[in-house]
Amino acid sequence: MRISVVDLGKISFQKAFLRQLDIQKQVLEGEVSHTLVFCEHPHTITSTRRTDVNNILDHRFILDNNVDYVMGINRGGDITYHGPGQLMGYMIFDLRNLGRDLGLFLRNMESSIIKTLAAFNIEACSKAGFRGVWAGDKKIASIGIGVNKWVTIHGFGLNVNTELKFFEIIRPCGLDIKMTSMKKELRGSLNLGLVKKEFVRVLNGIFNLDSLNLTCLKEA
Amino acid sequence: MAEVILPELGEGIDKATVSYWLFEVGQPVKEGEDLVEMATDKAVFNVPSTITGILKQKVAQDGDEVKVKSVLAVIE
Repeated sequence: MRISVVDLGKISFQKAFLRQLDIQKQVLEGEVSHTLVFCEHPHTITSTRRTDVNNILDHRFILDNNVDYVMGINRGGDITYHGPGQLMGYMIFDLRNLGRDLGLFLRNMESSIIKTLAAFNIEACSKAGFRGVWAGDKKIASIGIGVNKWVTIHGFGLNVNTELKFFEIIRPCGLDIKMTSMKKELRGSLNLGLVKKEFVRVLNGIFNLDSLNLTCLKEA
Repeated sequence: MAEVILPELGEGIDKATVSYWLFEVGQPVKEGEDLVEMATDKAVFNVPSTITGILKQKVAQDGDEVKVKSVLAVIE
């Protein structure tokens, strides 16, 4: 099984979403293999069709700080924040070749994040009944995907060097929880490139991938 | 006539919630066309119609929790 890894660098949520849709179409039509898209967004709040607007706590902050707000995203989960220092991993995978097992795919995604964090000496876990990956009682990575004819879209946001104060303007995932980052846990910033490299290495093992193609696409 | 079933979703997922219907009862629908959006806590996905016909009945309504392998709709 092959996977392509695409690095879009710093890119708006909207542009990355369009890129994902394009890749998802190609995967559906069998033109490309499973694809992992890395990127980093400017300050952005995204919500799903299930989001209660009361989960936005500070509308004025959003307006005054030029934070993008994108509604009605076709992924699971609830409201969340994306921004500089957060590693977005969009996993556009063909579950038709992975046993049509959505539960296993999500577990493998969480495991990949947990093992990546372990490589940086951060102990993390998933929590029964809660989404995402947790370091102690704080959430360090959020997960939410959409699926079209067994091809996935969206994925995870891992807080590497994320400015955590931005999570305070919402109720992340619709819950009263605290967020954390790798930077906070380790008391120092990390190179996003190192985290990407480790995640790909771990993913390779968990999904039993044969080979990797790395494509870097930098967009303005 | 055909029943549209919520497919098995894999380990640990035994139910999903109806997000919204893309068709109303009485409307024509084609085979393979997305009929209803479903959601779990981590994923949203569409369930397509299995035949071309008329949506006769929505067995589950918006917001209802449905177990896998249960009937979502009847197409005639």
